[in-house]
Formats: sequence, C-alpha cells, structure tokens
Amino acid sequence: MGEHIDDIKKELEEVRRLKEELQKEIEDTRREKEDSHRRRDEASRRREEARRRIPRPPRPSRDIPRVPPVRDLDIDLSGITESLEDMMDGLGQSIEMSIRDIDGIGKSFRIPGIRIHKSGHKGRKVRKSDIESIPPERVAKIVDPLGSEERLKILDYLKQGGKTFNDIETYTGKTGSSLTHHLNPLIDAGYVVKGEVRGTYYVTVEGRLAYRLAQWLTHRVEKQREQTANNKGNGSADDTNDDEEHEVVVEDAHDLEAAQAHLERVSDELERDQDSVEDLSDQIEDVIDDLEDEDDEDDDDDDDDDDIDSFDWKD
Amino acid sequence: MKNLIPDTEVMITTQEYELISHEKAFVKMKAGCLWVYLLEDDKRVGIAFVGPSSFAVDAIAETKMGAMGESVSGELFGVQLYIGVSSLENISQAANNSNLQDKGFNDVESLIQKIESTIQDHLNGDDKTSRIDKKETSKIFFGRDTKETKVLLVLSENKGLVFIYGKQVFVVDDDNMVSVSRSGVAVTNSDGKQIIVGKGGIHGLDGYVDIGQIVSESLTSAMKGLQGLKSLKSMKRTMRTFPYDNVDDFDWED
Repeated sequence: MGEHIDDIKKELEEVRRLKEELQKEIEDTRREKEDSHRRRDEASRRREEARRRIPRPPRPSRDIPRVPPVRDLDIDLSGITESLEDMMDGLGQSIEMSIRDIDGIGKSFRIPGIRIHKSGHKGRKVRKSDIESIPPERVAKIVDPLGSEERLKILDYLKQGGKTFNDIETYTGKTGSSLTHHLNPLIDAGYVVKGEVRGTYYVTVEGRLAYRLAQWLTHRVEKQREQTANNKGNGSADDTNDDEEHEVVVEDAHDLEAAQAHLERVSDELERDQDSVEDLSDQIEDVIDDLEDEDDEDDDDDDDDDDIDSFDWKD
Repeated sequence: MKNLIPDTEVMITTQEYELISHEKAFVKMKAGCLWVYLLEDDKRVGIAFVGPSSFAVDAIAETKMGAMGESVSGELFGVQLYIGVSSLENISQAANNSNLQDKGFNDVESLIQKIESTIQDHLNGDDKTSRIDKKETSKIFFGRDTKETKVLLVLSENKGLVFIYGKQVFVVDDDNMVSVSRSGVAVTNSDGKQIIVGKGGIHGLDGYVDIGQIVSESLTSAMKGLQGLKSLKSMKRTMRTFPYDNVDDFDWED
C-alpha cells in the first residue's frame, strides 16, 4: 500500500511538472504572439509615417517653349469658355425654373428635397381615434347595403368584371324587380356602378373594399368565436393567455410586403451613400491636385514674369 | 372646318337608328328626327339633325382595384352635329313642311340657318378654328343635352374614347383613364392606382415617396457629366495669364 502511495505521489509530481511546463510554453507563445502584433503595428505605423513624410518629388521644371509672336492668327478662347460658362449658368437656371414649375403643381412638392408626406405613427393614432368616434348611423350607411347574402353574392360575382343584368339574374337566381331590389342599394351606396350604354354593372373600388372588409370582419369574428368556444371547453383562463402569447396573426400581408420593400430601399440607399462617399473622396483628391497644380502654375507665372523681365528691352 | 356647310335637302327618320354604337357610348335617334348632310368642299362628311334623340357614355375604367368613373346619359336637345359615316338614308324619307313645323321651323331656310349657327357655335366660333383629320373609322359628335350642357364625343377605334361633358373631360381606354373635373385631374391606370392633381396638391403619390431622392440623384448624376467642362475653365484661366497674351503690345521696334 505504501508503495502505491509513493507511486501515486511520484505520478502527481510528474503531472504537476508537466503542467508547469505547459503553462510556461503557453506564456511563451502568448508573449511571442503579442510581440509579433506589436512589431506588425509598428511597421505599419512607420510605413504610414514614412508615406506622409516623403514629399512628392519635385516636378521637373517645365521648359516653356519660346513662342514666336503670332500676329496674323488671333484665337480668342476666352469667348468659348465664357459662352460655356454662360451655358452652364443657363442650364442651372433652367433646371431651377423647371423645378420651380413642379413646385407650383402642388404643395406636396418643395425644393430642395421633394417631400411626399405619408402618415406615420402619429397619423395612425389620430386615425384610430377618428375611427372609434364614427357614430352608428354612419356605420349603418356603409354596412346596411351589405346586409344581405344576395348583395354580397352580387359583389363577389362582379369582381370578375362587368356583368349584364341577365348575367346577374342567372348567377343569383333572382329575376326582375327582385334583383333590382338588391342592386339599387348597392348602386346608391356607390358599391356598384351601372354603365348605361350596355346596361353593364361594375363593382367599384369602394365596393371591392367594402366586400373585402366584410370578409375580414367575418374572419375576425369567427376566429374570436372559435377561441371563446375553446376557452369554454378547456375551462381555464390561463390556457387562453398562453395560446394568445404563442399565436402569431399576420394582420395584413401587404404591410409585410411594404416593410420588405422599405428594407430593400434602405439597403439601396446605403449602397448609394457608399458610392457618394467614394465619389466625394475622389473629388477631394481632385481638388487637392488642382490646388497643387495652381501652386505650380503660380510658380510658373512667376517664372514667366522673370522671363519677360529678362528681355533686353534696350535692344 | 371653315368650309363645313349643311346640304339643303332635309330628310326625316322613320325608325330608331343608332348613330353611334360603341362599347362605351351610343347616340340614338328616334323616329321623326330631321336631318341634312354636312358638306365640306361638296363632299358629305357627316350629318346635322334635330329631334328626339339620346346619348350615353360609360366613362368607366375597369381596374384591378375595381371600376372607376361614371356613366353619363341624357336626352339631346336642339341641333346636333355628327362627323362620320352613317346609313341614315336607308331609314329616312324626304321631310315636308309639316315635319319642319313640328320641330319649330317655318321652312328649310330657317333650319339651315339654325344648323349654320350651331356649326359656328361648336366649330368655327369667333375665337376658334377647328381642323379635323378624319379617318375612315373616326366618329365625332357635337351636341347639347336638355340641360344645355355641351357634349363632345370622339371615337376613333373600337376601344377608347374622348368625352367632354360640360367642364368634365374623360379620356378612357379599356382600363386606363384620365379625367378632368372640379376635383382636379385624375390619372388612373389598370392597377387601380390613381394620381389626382387638385387644388389641395397631388394625392396618390404615396407609392412614390422616394421621388425626391430619385429627382435629386438624377440631377446630380446629370450634372456630374458636365464636370468635364471644368478643364475648359482652367484653360481660360491659363489663357488669362498666358505670358505672350499681349505680345502685340510689345514695341518690337525699340
């Protein structure tokens, strides 16, 4: 037993030693890694500094060739450049004017930056309160014409396109005054319009919307009833809450599509912004070059003056 | 149409006749309508008529969102003008004095005068001159209804029409429409999208919220193309400081 204990102690010692060695190696590796990082950073910093410090090599002095005086040929480019400048100014003015014309069309347009106002979150809240304050008689005006299966059938049928009185008779099974009794309220409400030329009936934009909302209402109420029935069956209010928490109702796929379109627009805008930043950096470089060129030109001008002064006027 | 004149031979319809029969419009003449040919350079180009008649126009565009527009109909009153082909002769006979008197005209001359003044009113008034390029299939109707509202209907093909009723204007294709009314100018496309330019501004541009950005970018990119002109500007500057610019001023003789 004592031997075993000694063996174990030895092994433990060995393991401890190995552990220390490993720790040491890890330390060394870490240090080396840090050193290499530092060296790399320093090298890049030095390179950067060097790049900054190195002055641009001086341009070789330009030998302006002596131009013999030309008396016969008189080219005045200033006229061209001035007219081009005028053209540029004119172009700017005409753009400004045409935009001003757009401005006159309606108040939605404003320069700079044409803005089209779209009701946002706040507007939605206002609308919600407006909706909640609609009195029953107004609701009845809109809902009453829809209050019959026949009328809803007619609206649904007319979604396919314009139909004649005969077509509707065949579809609904109602004839003559019986059908007119259903059609007239729809026409009076503006849900259906009658073309006098061929006696064709069309469902209007309002009619389609009303029918769609009636379908939505049906769906919501049925869903609610279903839930209520389930709750009664289960007899537990807590379960209901759980169900509600897990239920994801897509209210309107259109909104989702709009959101997706918006995200795509934002991504496009980001790309455009990136492009414009790149363009700007190019422009800045151009400007720097121009400034340097101008400096050089100034120097050259001085040289020219020197040259003129160096003429021997006394000759 | 300065040379448009009425013929002197007056006819009367003996049965109902659909002068214009279009998918979206009609003009119907009932029995008992007095009519004469309209001549331009001695060529029959249309008719003028007076009598019991009616019209209807479906200024309705069927879009994916539903139908838009309205149907306008009514009874016509007074002398009406029609430019286009017709086959009225087949259902008409020569009118007599009693027919004329029934319609309030003493004789042929008074009817002709009334037609001439109507032509003047619709086509060749003091401040207007009309020139109509007729096609084989084109039909143009100038009239007034019982409310004294002017009606102008132009049909060139089976599809599409231009209809002016008083101050309302409709240009209708199968499923696109441009209408002008008190509320403004409304442009509707087949998708049911509508832009209305009215006194209160432009409505229906919600789908074009990025138009400002689009216009700005288009202008910017267009102007970028003109950057090349910068070099000409610097050329001008160079010329200004060109050392030998004023060489003529030198007194070379010295």
